[in-house]
Formats: sequence, structure tokens, C-alpha cells
Amino acid sequence: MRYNYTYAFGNYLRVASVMLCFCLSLIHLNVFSQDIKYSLEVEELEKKYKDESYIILDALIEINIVPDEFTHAPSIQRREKLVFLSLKDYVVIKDMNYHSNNSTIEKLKGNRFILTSGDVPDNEIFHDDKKFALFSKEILKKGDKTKLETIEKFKDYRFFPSQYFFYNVPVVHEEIRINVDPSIKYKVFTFNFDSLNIERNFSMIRKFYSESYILNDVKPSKKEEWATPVSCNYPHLLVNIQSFDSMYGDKIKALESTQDLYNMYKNFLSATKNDTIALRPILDSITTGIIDPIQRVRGIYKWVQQKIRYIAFEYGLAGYIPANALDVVENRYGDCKGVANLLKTFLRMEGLDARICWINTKQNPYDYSIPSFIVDNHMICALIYDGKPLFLDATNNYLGVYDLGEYMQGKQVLIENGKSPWLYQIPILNVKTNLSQYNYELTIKEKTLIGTVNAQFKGNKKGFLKHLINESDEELDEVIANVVFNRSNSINWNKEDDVLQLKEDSVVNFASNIQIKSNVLAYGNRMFIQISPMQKFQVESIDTSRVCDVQFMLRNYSEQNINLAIPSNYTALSVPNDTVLKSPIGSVSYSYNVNDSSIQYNCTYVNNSLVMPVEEVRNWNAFVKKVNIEEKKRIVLQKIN
Amino acid sequence: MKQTLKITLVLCGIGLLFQQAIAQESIDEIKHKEQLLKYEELMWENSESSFKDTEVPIQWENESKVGLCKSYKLVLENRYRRLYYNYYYHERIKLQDNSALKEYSEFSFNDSYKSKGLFKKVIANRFVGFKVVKPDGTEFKVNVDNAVDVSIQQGRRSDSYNKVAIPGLEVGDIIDFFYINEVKLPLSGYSFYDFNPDYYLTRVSYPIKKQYFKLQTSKNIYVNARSVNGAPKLQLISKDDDFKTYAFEDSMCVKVINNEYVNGANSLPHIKMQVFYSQSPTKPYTFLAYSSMLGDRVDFKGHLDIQDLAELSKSFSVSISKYYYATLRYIRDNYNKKTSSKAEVAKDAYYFLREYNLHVFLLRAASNQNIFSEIYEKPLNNVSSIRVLAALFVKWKVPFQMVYTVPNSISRMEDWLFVDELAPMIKVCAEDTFLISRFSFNSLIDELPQRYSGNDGYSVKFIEKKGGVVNYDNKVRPFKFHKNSAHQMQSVITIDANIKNFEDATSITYNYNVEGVHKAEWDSLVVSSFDKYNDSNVKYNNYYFGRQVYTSSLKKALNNLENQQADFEKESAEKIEKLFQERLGLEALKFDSLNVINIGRWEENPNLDFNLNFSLSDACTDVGNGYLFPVGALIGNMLQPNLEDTIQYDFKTSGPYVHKQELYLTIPKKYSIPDIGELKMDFENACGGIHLNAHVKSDTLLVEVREILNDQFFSKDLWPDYKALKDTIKTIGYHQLFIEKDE
Repeated sequence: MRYNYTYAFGNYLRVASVMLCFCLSLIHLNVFSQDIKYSLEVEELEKKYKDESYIILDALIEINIVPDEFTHAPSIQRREKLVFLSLKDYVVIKDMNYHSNNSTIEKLKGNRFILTSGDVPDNEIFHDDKKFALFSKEILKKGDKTKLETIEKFKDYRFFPSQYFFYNVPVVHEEIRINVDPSIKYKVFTFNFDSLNIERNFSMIRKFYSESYILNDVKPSKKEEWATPVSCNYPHLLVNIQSFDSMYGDKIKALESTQDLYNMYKNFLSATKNDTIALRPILDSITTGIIDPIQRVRGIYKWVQQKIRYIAFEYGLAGYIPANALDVVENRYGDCKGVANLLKTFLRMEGLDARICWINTKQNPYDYSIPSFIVDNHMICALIYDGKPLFLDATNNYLGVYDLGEYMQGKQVLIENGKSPWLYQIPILNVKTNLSQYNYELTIKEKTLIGTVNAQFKGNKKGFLKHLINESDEELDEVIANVVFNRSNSINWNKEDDVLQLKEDSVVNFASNIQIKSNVLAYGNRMFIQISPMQKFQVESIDTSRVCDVQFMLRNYSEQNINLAIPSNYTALSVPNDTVLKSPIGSVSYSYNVNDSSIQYNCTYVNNSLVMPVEEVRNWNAFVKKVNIEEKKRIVLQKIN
Repeated sequence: MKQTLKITLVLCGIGLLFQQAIAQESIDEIKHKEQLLKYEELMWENSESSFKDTEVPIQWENESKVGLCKSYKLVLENRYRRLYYNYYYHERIKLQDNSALKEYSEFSFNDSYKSKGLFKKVIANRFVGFKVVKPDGTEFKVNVDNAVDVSIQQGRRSDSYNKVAIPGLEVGDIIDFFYINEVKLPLSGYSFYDFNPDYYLTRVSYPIKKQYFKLQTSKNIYVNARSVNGAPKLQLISKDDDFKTYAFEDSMCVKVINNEYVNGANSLPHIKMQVFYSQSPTKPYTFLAYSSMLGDRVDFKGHLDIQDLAELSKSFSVSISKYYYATLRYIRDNYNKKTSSKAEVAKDAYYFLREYNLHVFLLRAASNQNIFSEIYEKPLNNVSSIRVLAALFVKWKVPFQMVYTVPNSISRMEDWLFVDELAPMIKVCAEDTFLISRFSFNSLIDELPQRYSGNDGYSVKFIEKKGGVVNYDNKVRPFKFHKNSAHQMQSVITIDANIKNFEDATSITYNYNVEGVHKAEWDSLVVSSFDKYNDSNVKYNNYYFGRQVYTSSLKKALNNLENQQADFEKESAEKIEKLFQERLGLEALKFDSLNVINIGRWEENPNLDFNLNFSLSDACTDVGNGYLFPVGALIGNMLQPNLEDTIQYDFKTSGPYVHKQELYLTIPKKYSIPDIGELKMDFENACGGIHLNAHVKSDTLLVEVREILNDQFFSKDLWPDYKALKDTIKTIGYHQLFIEKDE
């Protein structure tokens, strides 16, 4: 038998092709099964994140801290690797980064991601170095993944900001990894980690200390009205460089303690030179004829408050170094640092002990045990008077010398104090300092409540009113309607008079004849009277789905006292019961006192706290509901036959 | 070696170019600074004498700010094959309180600009100057070099502006500033150039002591200008070989109050003006048909010849856009030119075009980037849509007239001066007569927008097209638009409120049925883009995008449109809840659902019809032997503003309209309504009226409210009547009904 090569070859080919088909089908089956698995995964994620167009499947943030090649100072790079997954067809993926002039952001990987960058306009700050870098890309198909890798290089390690976990969309798995060269001593401060299951690992990777924080299912940030800052509500961490080795091997202190932070601040202050000789004639013109020392202080404080407009330049180090006092006076504008320094200079020229203070005006979880720039955001002046500091903030035009802005109360403040800082806890003033008191004398005439109102406003409420009267575009009538009468549009006051008076520095007074048209209902021989002309003390229900604590503008003590004369042919048939309602941050009480000829009504509303924890929102809403019911209650008068 | 030499030479060349570019930049900068110094001198040293005035008239001492002097100058010059459009603005304002101080503490302005490319470059040189004048007369200049830059970049594109903080400024100071924009336009290749119309108001929101207006034009520059509503006359004050100068002055100009009731420029004194360049008096305008319409080319023209509208009409007979061909294809496929009713063809063509435009608009808006624009053209505006229809009607011999007016929000017909002001319409005069006036997603045939209601206009009759020439009747006839009556603008709201018991929430349903142009107030809130898209008549669909139906861009846009639906529903629910809470003054009102029954886009069912369902908890007040129910809140409107006692000018309202409300309130068993109390009202005056009536039938209270506002515009003498009407309407909201427990 002749060996048939062709046959044999054909056989091999056949076998091989069968084998190949088998293998291919296996691969195909595998791919196919993987496809099914993947599409199921996508479907599951789509269900879970049904409100989202896309999510981040995986986020890895690596913060690499190594000695600089030339200076040996810590050099920081932040690498961000993101894997996005689209949950709908045709979505535009966006990764927004905010940074300052202290860093630059570049794309390393991320095909077809478009970069839009620029300055971030700020309504409050005239000029700063806040910048944004937005990477965006369009994804055509649901289930498509795309990767983006960026690098942010920092120029000065001291201004390295906090690292947050959240993005604008949910993250399935996120890791923040900090890799530090052993020659650099650092400390990581963590915030808002308590209620979350954040896994922390520590290892040595090659020659680096490596610390990682892993969090799954990271919720996106949410913009909410009346919310405390993100630092209070979202998990984040701060890498603090404490010291590092110089090129000669000796230790160089960075920010290890409050003293180090203070030293740095002092350094910044020393960069500001104040020309007191040139300032002298201005100071003399302010204080001429005033002998009493505290009156002189008042005069200086008021001059700076009224003459210097708040215009902030916070570009780079100008965010830390005050403008010199003469420039501020000549420009007639300055930021918090400029006016604090001007006040300090003037007061020192008066021979008084005035100092610079650093403070945080917002609610946040930091104090000066953290030696970092993130702790404060504001500068004021402290006058040490009779051994105690009086805090003067000339960016707030309507604070008196003894007043304390709500934003200062209860805050830790770092006071300039020679070589060592003075840490001071500003007290929280009694809520009655923010008094709004309304005294009404009312009678009923033709189904209308008529009479007079005398009101007074103190403390921060006074400041708020003065600000609106003097500086907003609102007409005086609008201010009265919206703030004094809390938008109760049934009240008519006498617009002919100059009714809103700034009688003295500490009080704003309001007096007028008034008419309230809609509060009296007459049915048969009965009258139903809603006695309070003005309802609701900014008491409104709050969305229970919110995630952030609630921030109020002011603590409040508001009192309405009404004396209502009962018409001669009527008698009081019933009045609502006296009631006290508790809220998570205060209370409201209603009381009625009836005699033959009149009814006295008192309503006192107290809001003791600027912040209400988000867990209390339901209790708050229950309180609002009760207040609404209570305020609708009516006095019933019966005609005497 | 040769290669190295080449590279070196190229590098040297690049280096030289680069160096030259840098040098050019610094030369430009120096030139700019020198020019700025010249302008500072011109504006601050050699300006009109009134710019030296620092005295505020006694009657304006309590104003927040007072314009002491203001000057606006426009110079148009045709020189060396370039057109110069130079704008000089100079103002001096006394700041009398902190609010004004805050407003003028900072200024933003743009940098100079050069368009890219070697030829046909547009150059805009911009100069600003700020000076503070102290009450004692001392003054200082603000260094604009200290301005900071705010910028945004994307790839090669960038956008930026400058901000400057004014130092040393205090209450009582005068801020004196100027802004100059010198635009250099290339003329090569252009024989005609028309600038945008300009409306210069001589009354603004603050008083002005003195103001100057000046217009200088060189050869070949033509001006259409007119003083309106009592503004000073613009007069030729000098003339030489190079320039003609027109100017006016105005003094003691009071501020405008109650601005929101003023009908824009149409109510206020102003100069309206449009400037043209034409290479020679015989050269035509850009649009051939406008050429004769604008009449003889004269240097300054204060009115137009109405007769020229006949010529303008000719330009409406030709349209070569995709829209025209798509509409024509649709009509050809569905109608017979000889036997079909012309009126029917006209109507169907109108709706086809309306829908086509809507689709393009919606899908473009829904596409993320500009991808869609690569394939489809832009949606048509009203004028272009009219052109398409006119061309089609000529082709299909549909008898029609072109009708023209000026929208009352812009001007009166007798003050008409620019082509841009003109609103063309078509009056079809076939088996039926009807007017086609606007194209929007819910516009209907013969529906007249408020901006044309009661206007004066003109009509031109189309005769025939012969041998490619379209013939119109050369007679331009006056045309009076009918006035929309309040009864044509009716909304009927039926409210069903059911109090099950006083502890539970009250369910409330508002059934809205809105007709006329007031539909627009609601449809953005209740009708999504996706609903509009889905409401389209399917018979038209195949003709829109034809073969492109399956292109990825279209698919993508459709997908986006669908994706946006959920967002719309969420946003709409929030907006509706907030609106009703504020309008009714009921914070406890919660929005439950929205049900759109009819979008109201088609003639057979033209009204917008929808239900809004709410629940209201804790609405009733326990008063011992019964409850008080806020019945007034359900039918009132707490958002009525507090009106000032006086008004300076004739005013504009949201009328005319009739709002009819019927409230059916079901009360629980064992309760009754002993007395309807004050639920009875009849108020009527020259502006309108409000009628309220109520009666009880078994367990239901029926409250009927009829609110009428007779017109859109009223003379200022009627302001007290309007205020009285609005104040009366406002009181309804406070009514509380006593529901008594049966003995």
C-alpha cells in the first residue's frame, strides 16, 4: 500500500481543523459566557444605581511623597486612575478636579478625554488661584468601560489639600494609597470615618511606607441647601508632613505641631511692613476729640468697617500674607487679612495690645491640634482689653466692639502671642443676644386687627437687618416685609413714617401703626381670630433624604407679645391651650392670658444651635408640623346677647 | 552637511519669526498704552463741560446713584478698504450709598481682539479708563494694568475677561469711566455691510443730569434713525467733506420706576438706529429684495416707504432650503395640484413644517455636542418658515397675501425703521381665509400671538408666477390685526377637593384646560420634550430625515431625549410643588402626580389639558364646634405682587385673559357649612373684574371664580384701576370657611 501523503496530510488538516473549531468554540463559549456574566453585572449595577448615567467602577488615588531631587524637600504627586462604566447609551463622562496654582494637572492616559480648564470665578473673592480641570468624554454604548489616568504635581508640600473619597457619581471600589519615602515623617488625619467601613492597610512597598484606605460603594457628593461644609459630612483624610531629612541628613521640621504652624504664620505676617508714620494723620483724623479709650477703639473699628470695602485678593501666598495697612487705607479695600492687619496697626499706634488671630468661620471638624492650613479660613484682630481678648472683625460692617459674630462663637482661635501661640476658645453667647422682640397693642375694627407694633432687634439679627438696609438693592419696604414681618403679606404698616430706626449702635427699632386684614373671621355671632400677625419663624420642613447636617444662619430668640382688646359687646369663648413644643435645636412656647377686656398672648421661639444633625431632620419635621397646627389655632369670641 | 545647514537655516528662520512675533506683541502693547493715554486726555481733559459738573440736583439727593453726565458716541468711517466702527462710552456717576458703592467697586471688561488668519482680519482695540473724583475735587486715575485675568481654555480655544477693583472709592465719590471699542472690519469682497439695530434708551433705572449722543459718519455710510416716545431729535449738527455729525443732548432725565410693567423700548423714550455701509449708492444691499424696499439711498433716513413692502414680498417667493423640498415632497405625495383644496394644502403644509422644525429643534437640543449639526441644518426661525411656505404656495398656486407688522414688544408700525423689526406673515385666501403668523411647537393656524394683537400692518397680494417672475399686486394695503379678546385666552380650572375627615390629608386635584397663547405659560412645566416628540403626527415622520433615520447621531439624540424624560419629571414635580406652595401659601401642600391629557397642539383639540394631584395635610383649624378650612388658598394667588401707587408710562400686563375656576369641596359626613361667609364678590372696573360666588349642595360646596383682565396694554391713567383689581383679587386667598359639626 502506498502511503498517501495527501490523504495523511488531509487527515491531519481535518483533525487539526476539528481541533481548532473545538478550541475556538471553547474560547467563544468562554467569551460568550463572560459576555453574559458581564452584561448581568452591568444590569445589576444599572438597577443599583438607577438614577446614574455612569459610575466609577474603580478609583485608585496614589499620593506619592518623595524627597525632591535637588532640595530634598518633600515633593508630592497625586496619581488618579479611574475606570468609568456607562449605564446608559450616549453619556458624557465628566471628571472635575479643583486645584490651586500650587499644582498642575495632566492627563497620562485616557483616549479621547477632552480637557477644559481655567479659573473658577468666585462671587465672594475678587481674585484667587482656584482653578478647575474638567476631563470629559462621550461614551456611546451602555456597558462600555473607559479609563482615565491623571497626575497632579504639587509645588509646595505645605499646601497639599485634603483628599476626599467622593466623586460626582458613585464609586464601586476606591482606594487611596499613600506612599512615603522613609526620610519623610508624616501623619495621616482622618475625618468622618466613624460610620463607614474603611479598610486600612499598612505595608512597605519597595523602600516606601505604604498606607492604604479602601472604601466600597462610595456615595457621590450631593448639593443641598443649608448644608454644613463637605468637611463635616464626607469622609476625607489629610496627609500632614511633619519633618524631613535635608540633603545633609539633619531633620528639618515641617508642620509637626501648632507651634510649627504658628511659626509659619508669623513668618507670613513678618512679610507685611506697615508704615505707621504715614498712617498717623489718618488715625488722628479718626480719633480727634475722642478721649475715652474704648470710644477711640469704637471710632477706629467703625472707620475701618465703614470705609474699607471687602475685596479679596487671595492669589498664591497673598492668601496668607496681609496687605500692608497703608495700601489698604489708600485703596479703601482689603480682604480679611488686610483689614485685620489695619485694625491691629491702628490699635497698636494707640498704644493698645492688638493682635492678629486665625479662625475658621465655618462649621468643620478641625481644630489647632491639626497643624495644617486647612484648619482656618479667616483672619480677625483681637484687642486685649482688661486682660481679655475682644474680637474685632472689620469685614462684618455691623458688629459692635463687644459683639461676636455667630460664625466666631464657640470657635477655637489662634492668637498672635510673641513666640508661642495663644489658643483661645471663644465663648458661645446666650441666644438672647440675638433678640427679636415684637410688642403689639391691637383692637378689632370691622374684621380687621388694628393697632401699633414696637419691635427691637439685637445682636446678629440687628447686624443682618443693618446690612440689608444699607447694602442690599432691596428697598426699605421690601426689607420690612421680608425680614421684619417674615413675608406675612397680610400686614400693612404705615409706609409714610420713617419706621425703621437705627436708634443706637446695639439695637434696631421699628415702630408703626399696623392693620392686619385677614386674621379675623366672622360667622354668625362668633369671631375667629388668629392673633399672631406674623407666623413661622423660618420654620420649614426639610427633605428627609438629605445627607448633610443642616446649617442655620443665626441662632434666634424671638418673642411676640400681643395685647388684644376684646370688643365691648363680645366675650372670649375659648382660647387655645398654652403649649410648649420642643425642637431638636430649641423650642417654641405659646401662652394666652384672658381677662374681661383683653387677651395677652406670648409666643417665644428659641433656636439654640447653628447646626442640626441630619439624624434629627425627622424630629424637626414633626416639630414643624406641630407648629403649623398650633399657629393656625384661633381665639373664639362670642357676641353677648 | 547640506541637511544640517538646511535644518539650521529653518531653525534660524523659525527663531527670527518667533522673535519678530514677540517684538510685534510688545510694539502692539506700547502702541495700545500710548493710545490709551490719548483717550484719557480726550475723555477726561477735553470732554464736554458738563463732565466737570459735580452737583447733584436737590430732588435726587436721596437716590442711590445719580448720573451726572453721560456720553455715547459712534463713529463710522470707511477708509483704506476698511470699515471702522468706533464706539465711545463715557459716564460719570455720583455714588450716594453703599449699594451703589458696591455696584461700582469692580468692573469687568474684555481685552482687545484679533481674529485669526492672515486676510480679512477683524481687529477690535478696546480701551478702558476709570477715575475717582473725591468730594473735595481731588481726583485719581485707576491703574488698569492691575486688572486680573479670568480665563477658560479647551484645546486651542480660550475665553477670558479682565476684572479691576476700584481703589480709594467711597460713598460720596464720583466714578468717572470710559469704554472704547474700535473695530476694524475688512471690506475687500464686501459691497454692503449692515450693523445690528441699536435702541438707545434715554431713561434708565437711575436719574441722569446730562447726556450727549453723537453719531459721525463718513462717505458711503447710511443711517436709519428715529427718535421715539419723546426722546430728543437726532439732528445734523455739522457736515464737511469727510464727516457728517448727528447729535442730541438731554438734561434732567428722571429714572424709570416700576420697570417690570414697562413695555421695553416701546414705552420708553429712545433713539432707534441702524447703520449701513454701501460701496456705492447704486450697489444693492445684501438681500436683493430689501434693496428697493429700503428706498433711495440717502445719508440719513427717519422713515421708510411702506410701498416698498411690495418689493420685499418678492423675496418670499423663493426658498431653496431642505425644509422647502421636504415640505414640497410631502405635499406632492399627498395632494393633487389640480383637484385638492388649496386651503387644505396650505394647512397641512403649515403643520408639516411646524413638526419638521420641532423635530430638528428637539433632537439638536438633545444631542450632547455639535454632532447633530454636521448632518442636519438648524431649525428655522419664524421668518424663514414663512419664506418656505410662501415659496410653496407660489409653486402650488395657493392664493395668499403677505402681511407685515412690527411686534408690539419692539415698536409701533408707524415707527418702523428696520428690516429686522418686521414680522412677515401669510394670509391664505383660498376656500377658507386664515392667517399663518408663527411657528412654535404648539402654534395653530389663525392663532394670533399677543405681540401682534390689535396691531397696524400692511398686506401685499400675490397674483401669479409667470415665466419665473413672481408678480405681486403693487398696491400695499393697510391691514388691521384683530385684537385678541380676554375670552379667546381662557383657562378653565376645575378643582376637586375632598376632605375625608379632618385628621387625614385633603386630596386636591386641579384640572387645567388652557387655550390660546397662555398655554405657553404651562407647557414648559408640564409637557416634556419627549412628550412633544411623541405627540408628533406619524404621517409626517418619514419625510423629515428620510434615509438618515438610522444614523447614529439621530439614534443618539433620540436616546438622549428619552434619557432626559426622568430628569424632566423630577424637576417638574419639584417646580410644580414649589409654585403651588407659594401661590396658595400652603407649605403643607404636597405634589402627588401629573397627568397630561392633551398637549393642545392640534386644531381638533387645541387646548392644553392636564391634571395636577396634591395632598394637603393639617389644613383645617379646630375651633371647638367645627373647623376652619382655607378655601381661599385653593382659589387665590398669594404671589400677587404689592403694586406701587403710581406708574410713569403706559403699562403692560399678562392679559388679556379669563381665568375661570370651579372648586368642588366635599365635606365629611356629620358636618355642614352654615354660612358661605365672604365667598361672594363682584368687582369690576375698566381693567377687568373679579366675580366670586358660592353655594352648597348636599355635602359639596361649589365656589365659582371668574377673573378677567381686559387687555395687555393699558394707559397709565388706568394704573389705579389695575391696582384696585389686583388688590381685590389678592384678598380671596385669605378666605377661611367655617365647617360646623352637626348638633
